[in-house]
Amino acid sequence: MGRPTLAEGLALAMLAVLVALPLGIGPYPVRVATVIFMWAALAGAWNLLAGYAGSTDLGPVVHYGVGAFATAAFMLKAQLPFLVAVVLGGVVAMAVAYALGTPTLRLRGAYFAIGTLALAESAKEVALAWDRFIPFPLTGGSAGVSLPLAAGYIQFYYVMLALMAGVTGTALWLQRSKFGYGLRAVGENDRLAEASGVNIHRLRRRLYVGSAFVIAMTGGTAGYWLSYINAAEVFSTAITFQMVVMTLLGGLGTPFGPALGATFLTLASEYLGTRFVYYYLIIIGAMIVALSLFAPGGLAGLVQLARQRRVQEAA
Amino acid sequence: MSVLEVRRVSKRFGSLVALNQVEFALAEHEILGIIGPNGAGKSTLFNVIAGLTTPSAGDVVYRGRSIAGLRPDAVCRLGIAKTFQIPQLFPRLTVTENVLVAALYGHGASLTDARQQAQEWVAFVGLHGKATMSAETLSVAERRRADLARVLATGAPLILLDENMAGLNQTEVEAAVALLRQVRERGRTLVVTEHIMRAILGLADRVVVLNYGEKIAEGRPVDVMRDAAVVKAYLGEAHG
Amino acid sequence: MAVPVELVQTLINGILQGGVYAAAAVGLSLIFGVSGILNAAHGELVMLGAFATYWLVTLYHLDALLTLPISFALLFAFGWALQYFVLNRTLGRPLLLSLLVTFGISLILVNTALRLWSGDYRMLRIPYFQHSLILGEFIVPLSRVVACVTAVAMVAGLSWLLASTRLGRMIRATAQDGEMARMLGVNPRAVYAVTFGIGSGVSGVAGSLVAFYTPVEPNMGLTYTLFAFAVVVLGGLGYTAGVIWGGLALGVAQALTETYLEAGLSLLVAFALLYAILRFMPAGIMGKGRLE
Repeated sequence: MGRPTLAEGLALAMLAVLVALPLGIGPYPVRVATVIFMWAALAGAWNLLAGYAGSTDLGPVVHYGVGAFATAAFMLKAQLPFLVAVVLGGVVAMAVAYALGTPTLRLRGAYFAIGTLALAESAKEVALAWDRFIPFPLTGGSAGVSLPLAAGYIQFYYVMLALMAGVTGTALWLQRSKFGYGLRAVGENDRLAEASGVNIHRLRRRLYVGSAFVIAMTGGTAGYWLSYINAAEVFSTAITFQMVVMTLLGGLGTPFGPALGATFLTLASEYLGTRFVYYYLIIIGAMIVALSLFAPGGLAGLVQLARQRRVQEAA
Repeated sequence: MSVLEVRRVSKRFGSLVALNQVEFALAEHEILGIIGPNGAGKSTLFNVIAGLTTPSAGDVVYRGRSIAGLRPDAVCRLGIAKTFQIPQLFPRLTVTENVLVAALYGHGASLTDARQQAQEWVAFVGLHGKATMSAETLSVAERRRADLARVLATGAPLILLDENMAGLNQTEVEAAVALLRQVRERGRTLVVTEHIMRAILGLADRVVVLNYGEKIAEGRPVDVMRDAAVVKAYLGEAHG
Repeated sequence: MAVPVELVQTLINGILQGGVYAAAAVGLSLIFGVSGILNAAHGELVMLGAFATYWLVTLYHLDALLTLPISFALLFAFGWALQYFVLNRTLGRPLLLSLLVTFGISLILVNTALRLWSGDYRMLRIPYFQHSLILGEFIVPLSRVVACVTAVAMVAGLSWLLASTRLGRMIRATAQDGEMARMLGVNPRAVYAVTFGIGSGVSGVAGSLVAFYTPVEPNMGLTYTLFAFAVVVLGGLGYTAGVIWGGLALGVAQALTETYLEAGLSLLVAFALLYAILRFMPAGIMGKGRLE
């Protein structure tokens, strides 16, 4: 079992570097890095569901939106400081995920995919309509909610870094823990897992709720960072698209794949700039198609291939 | 007290009656054979016992406790594990990991203990050489052995073997029968269905015969073979 | 004692829209039933059909109804090519794959459309559709009637094709058992391509019909994809004729929401209905759908 330890060691070293990084670089790179960490956390959470547990969730953005609005509400209505509010926002999202996940996770395959998509779109509609029907205003309808401007940008760097580290650490832990084996068994063949003593529904739900926690905190942090959230954006399927493509690009079912994909794609989009918005999305679309068909292992898969080839040449 | 009691179990799929009031009991450490022509309901019966499907009528009682309607994972943890007629596996996990899952969740062992147990069971069924390869590389015969290892690793005292020897040649059948006798010696109770009569005759203490979902005979293999109803219904392939 | 005018009018509206939803969904159902592909770009096919009609009428002054067969032909060719060259590579692989590939295709299509035609909302003005039929107390726009009738006729035609023609038999045989079909001399890959072509063509025509009375814009597809999913699940996954029931259920539910609750909630009701059916009646309203 030497290899995982090496990877984990490198990851820890990398983490140390990232923690120290803001001391040496300017605000723009810090901002880009924060964006990368955010997407790495989101994609990483989706990777746990789809890559490890085999659940093709097409509505993970629902937790993002719940987290965003909950965090905003705790900050604006309860006057709580950001860090407290975002964790509470995560807790609220876990409760919602538990309630929604219990029936939804009984669906399988295509039905689960459609069901989660329907759930996310419903959440968007509920958020848009909320203020008109519920006496406790929360979402600002289509106008959205403004948050107080944050004092600095460094805190966002570290929060997103922590979220990314948490998700990646979880993926590494899943490689050799009881929970991890159970999840991967469910992902590979859920009926067989059940026949071998695994309570598939409970395991799936635990993962679902856990991923909701991370995704929600990411949403809450992003909302505060941008100082503005609205229902259409925080429940948008475009967020799900990005999570999916980054994971595929980096390597589905691998611990570092999502981070690799997030890095590559964020840097690519920074380079292409906003001028090429339509082209950029066309390229993303083409990338999803090409990757799915020809390189399902993604970047991590290519690294694996390169490593194997080096071993063969050495032999 | 008998280990297992199947009490007047019936199972209907729409208008198709797969099982009709099947009843028998099983004693500790016994090896019971279930035979019958194709479509007699043997696999359905196993699915009912293992919790993969609920009976339309009747009950299954394990060590005095009614288990009909329990989820498969609950049944497994209680003490009944079943192999699959078409062997199932976790394709991208290694052979050892396939068995590990069962040791972790079926048996409830700690990770360290479960790893140990998994390795032992993999060696027991003779797959030591392929332990670290991914399960999808196994041949069909090897998959059946892996399935057996998995089932054993759950720690379940009662094991249901659904045509686990299908497709094996004569030598392989004899080896499988010897292995299963060892399994019984280690304290398990077995229910076995096979089309290979030689295996059943060599292995089973008692035999139940199903035809069109009904039990038509029960008794020692030697006696059942001479039963007129059984001879009339189906005797299966003599392994020559 | 008084005839509940509002209710009946609402039901009429719902039924008319439901017929169109059925046509907009039948392509998805057919494709999934035959090749197991869940087409996330389905709504974009509808969008392309809508634009085809819009441009043909606006630029070439073709008669609106005449654009329907052209729309079919264009989308048929496109769909056929898509299946033959791209999607055939996803056969035999997990569901996630076809979902992801079609996800990607939808991104390409939407953004290409945005690039070519901008995000502006465009509305057709067809002279002879400016009238409405007045039946007693009830107002029925002519455009919607024509759209619904054409839509239902299309679904019926498709059912007839599947049931009574040689092509239909080939398609059904391939759907049931690709291996067997191949042994009987049928080329499954060609059948899948033709099926996708037909499904795309029908979806395109549905889009064209929708263009008669609603605005056309590149982002309209997603809603139709979700509605199509809802209709197909309501009617029963894999059971093609069920889309009529699904379409009616969805159309009526939406109309009722718009009249008695609020227009903005109609999407929510659609998705809630979809979710409820997935959970409690996964085989659809008529119980004939395929279960996982």
